[in-house]
Amino acid sequence: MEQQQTAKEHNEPERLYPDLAFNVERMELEFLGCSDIMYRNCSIDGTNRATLIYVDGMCDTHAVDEFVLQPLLEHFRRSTKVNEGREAELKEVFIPTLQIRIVYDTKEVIQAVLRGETVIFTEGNAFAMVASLIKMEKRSIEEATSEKVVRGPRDAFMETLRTNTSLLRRRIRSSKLKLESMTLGSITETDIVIGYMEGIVKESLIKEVRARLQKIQIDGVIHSSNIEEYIEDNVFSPFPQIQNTERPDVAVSSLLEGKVIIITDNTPFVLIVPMTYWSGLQAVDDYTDRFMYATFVRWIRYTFVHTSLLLPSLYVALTTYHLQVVPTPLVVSIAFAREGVPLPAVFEALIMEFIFEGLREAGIRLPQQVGPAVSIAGALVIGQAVVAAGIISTPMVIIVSLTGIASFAFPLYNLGAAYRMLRFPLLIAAGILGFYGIVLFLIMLSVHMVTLKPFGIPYMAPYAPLSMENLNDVLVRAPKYKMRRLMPWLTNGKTERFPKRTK
Amino acid sequence: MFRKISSVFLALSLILTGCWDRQELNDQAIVLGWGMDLMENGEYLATANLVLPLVSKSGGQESGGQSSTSGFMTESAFGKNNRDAEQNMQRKLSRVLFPGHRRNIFIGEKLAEKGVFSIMDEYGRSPMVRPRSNIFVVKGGTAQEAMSIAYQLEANPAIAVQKIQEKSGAPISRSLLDFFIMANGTGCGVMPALSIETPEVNTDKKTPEDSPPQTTLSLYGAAVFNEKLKLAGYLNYDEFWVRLWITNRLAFRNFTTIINSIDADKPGGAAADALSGATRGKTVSINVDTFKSQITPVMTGALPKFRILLEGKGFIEENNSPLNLSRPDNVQKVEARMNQYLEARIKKVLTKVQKDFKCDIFGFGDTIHHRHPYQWKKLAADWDTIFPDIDMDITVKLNLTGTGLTGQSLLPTRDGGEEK
Repeated sequence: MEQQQTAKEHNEPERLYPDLAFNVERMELEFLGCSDIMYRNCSIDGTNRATLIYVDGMCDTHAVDEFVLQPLLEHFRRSTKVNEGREAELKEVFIPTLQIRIVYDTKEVIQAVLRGETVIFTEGNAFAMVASLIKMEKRSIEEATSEKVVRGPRDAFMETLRTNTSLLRRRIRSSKLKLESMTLGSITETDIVIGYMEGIVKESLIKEVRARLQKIQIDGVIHSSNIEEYIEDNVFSPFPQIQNTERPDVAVSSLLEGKVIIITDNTPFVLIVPMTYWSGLQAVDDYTDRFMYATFVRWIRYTFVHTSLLLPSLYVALTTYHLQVVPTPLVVSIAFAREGVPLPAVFEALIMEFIFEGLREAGIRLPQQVGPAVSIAGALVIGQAVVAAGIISTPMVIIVSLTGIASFAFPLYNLGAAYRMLRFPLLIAAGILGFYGIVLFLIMLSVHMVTLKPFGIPYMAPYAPLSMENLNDVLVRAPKYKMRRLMPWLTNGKTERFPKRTK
Repeated sequence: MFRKISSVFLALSLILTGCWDRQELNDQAIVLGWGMDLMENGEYLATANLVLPLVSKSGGQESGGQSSTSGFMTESAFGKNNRDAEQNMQRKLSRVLFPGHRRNIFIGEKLAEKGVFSIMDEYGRSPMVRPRSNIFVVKGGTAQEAMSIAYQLEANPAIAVQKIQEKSGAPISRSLLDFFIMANGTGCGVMPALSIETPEVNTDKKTPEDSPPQTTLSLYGAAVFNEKLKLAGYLNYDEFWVRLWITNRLAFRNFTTIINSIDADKPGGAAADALSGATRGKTVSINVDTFKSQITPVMTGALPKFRILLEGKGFIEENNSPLNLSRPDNVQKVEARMNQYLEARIKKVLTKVQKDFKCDIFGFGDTIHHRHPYQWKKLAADWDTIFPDIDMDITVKLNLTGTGLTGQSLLPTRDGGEEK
């Protein structure tokens, strides 16, 4: 019986009543204990003719004053009698307001109030008028903090969904840019927008994204990363399979490549699916610098990326297993430096890497006022004292700091995090088995990476499987007019982005 | 379930196979040099040159490896062969001998005379050693004597000899490999030879800070081994380059000859001065840095003959002769005189090798083998008896492309010199 009733409540709309006092009472009951819900009565000659309900802090009070309250009061002064069923007349009163609509359903009214809209109940009308005069506190558009560029646009996504979509629309003035809206989170009712370029994106991809998002059952979406883990193909992989960005230009270029973006309200990080390994290694500045320099920098990045993974384990393997490979003068100087160090090279490396990760973690979390203290402790105490005391050898400090710098050469932070984490098992493998262990680990890692297929697109594409025309944005950064091809996995069959340049 | 278990075992088989050879750097004694001597009683004496890492630490924290005390030690042991001696040496050492950086092998002269056949196998067999090593014969001494000398310019005498060898114009760090290759070719072998040299003139130390020349290691030249891999003799520093030039391996070399007079009508002038062998006079020095050699076997007649064309490109570095080098015809005169001088020198060395050592260390046999393989089959067996009697026709063609910074000398014209 009770179940039936709740079902009924869900399915059948609960209609409003013509009685103003009753409607307001219903609302007061709903928002019992919500101190931020405000009620404003419009009384003419002692009788309450209308009540405005809004959320304090989300309502544009100036606009409501000017465009809702004043016309309303004037209207009531002119017609002192209660007019029943005269929607049209009432609506005309608010013509200056752009967004106003008539709502008959209680549930919808509640949703509207919670969105920040102003609801106007009037005496004798079984409906409410909803004016979308929302003005929430928001920060201004600022520079991207996690993806810095030398040359390139400075604006970044922010917490407000509609500002974010406007940043995209500003860049793509095409009706082909579709921004599908949906809500997620049974309690938070967070707005989500799926963006894609019609005509470029593969139909099956957008269907897959939509289906995966609709399948999500979650109480609240707090960050875009909440969604990320729900729709990821392989959560048990160290590698991120969904790219995130706070730069609109990155989002736009992904859209033009036939990728799909997911914008979440209240998160400045937009998700891009599907991600490939190489897109995580491409920085914005690669495309704003001259192409030769960009290629050079890209190779420096590739070198450092692999340094961050391999350097400590190579050092350990070389000095404990394969000493004959190292040039003689280097062996002699390492031997000099290592003399008297009590720990085996593996533990030396593990300890130093561990300390470095700790310093990094502390550096992110610590309050600004104590920042210098930690850097002093890190640089002086760990770096110098440990060597002076003869606990850690000097080459190891060089190796660890080089690795540390290299691990921040990743344009995408969470891809760098993957490598930082993988360094430890690799170090253990190198300590147990030398080069053999390193190679074994790398084989396993490559097998894992080529088997990843986020949203059906090979993770290592266009390198494995090979697509020759797309390599000009992987191994090198070709001039813009040469990068004409979309990746075949991402398109509907038409791979050309623009015609060939003619002289 | 079975698949899971089997995959675990498969993974274990990857990890648990192979040999566990982890060795911390602090537990290894890095061998930079290895010496073998033959004792009077017939035993082998092995000497190892080890890196001494403790030195730097004793000086304090800041010393980065450069220290006034020597950074090496030598240790020795008797043994039946290399490995046996190494095991015996290990008795005296707290760290495991690590021969992975053994780049210099010293052979005592006595051992070389008795033959190196019995000890050289290990240098190519052990997986820990490197084939790109230098192997030296210590002329007139034992390996241990040579290895014990503290070399002043380098921390370690083993490194020093390797670097000296690199600066001699010979191929770098491959004398062991070359020895193996030659021993399998014509049967002879060549190794660089070291000698322990006392200063030419003894100068006393007047204050403790003085640093007069000391007894040191030097490159003597090359040691020649016959087919039995026994020492046949030495080519000194002024002779060993002949072999390198003929076999196309010489990288650079300076030559000096004497030109006393101008002899304007004859292009080269009288060769008598150049060939006189005088140690001083009006000299000209050239630096040659491009060498080319072409050996042509001539198979007419009973015995083969060889036409050897040696070409070189260089420039004049010193001129004490009366020639005015700003005139190109004078440079040609130097070229002609230098060609004559070099031809005579090379001829002398070739004759020495043919008559005294009777070993074909120049690879002449190989050129017949390459050009006339069928005739070589008949010659090969008796090559060591044929070789000493073969005629060589040597032509040297130098091309001097420069005269240094000045054409004419900065000094005023001297007696016998040309007018400006």
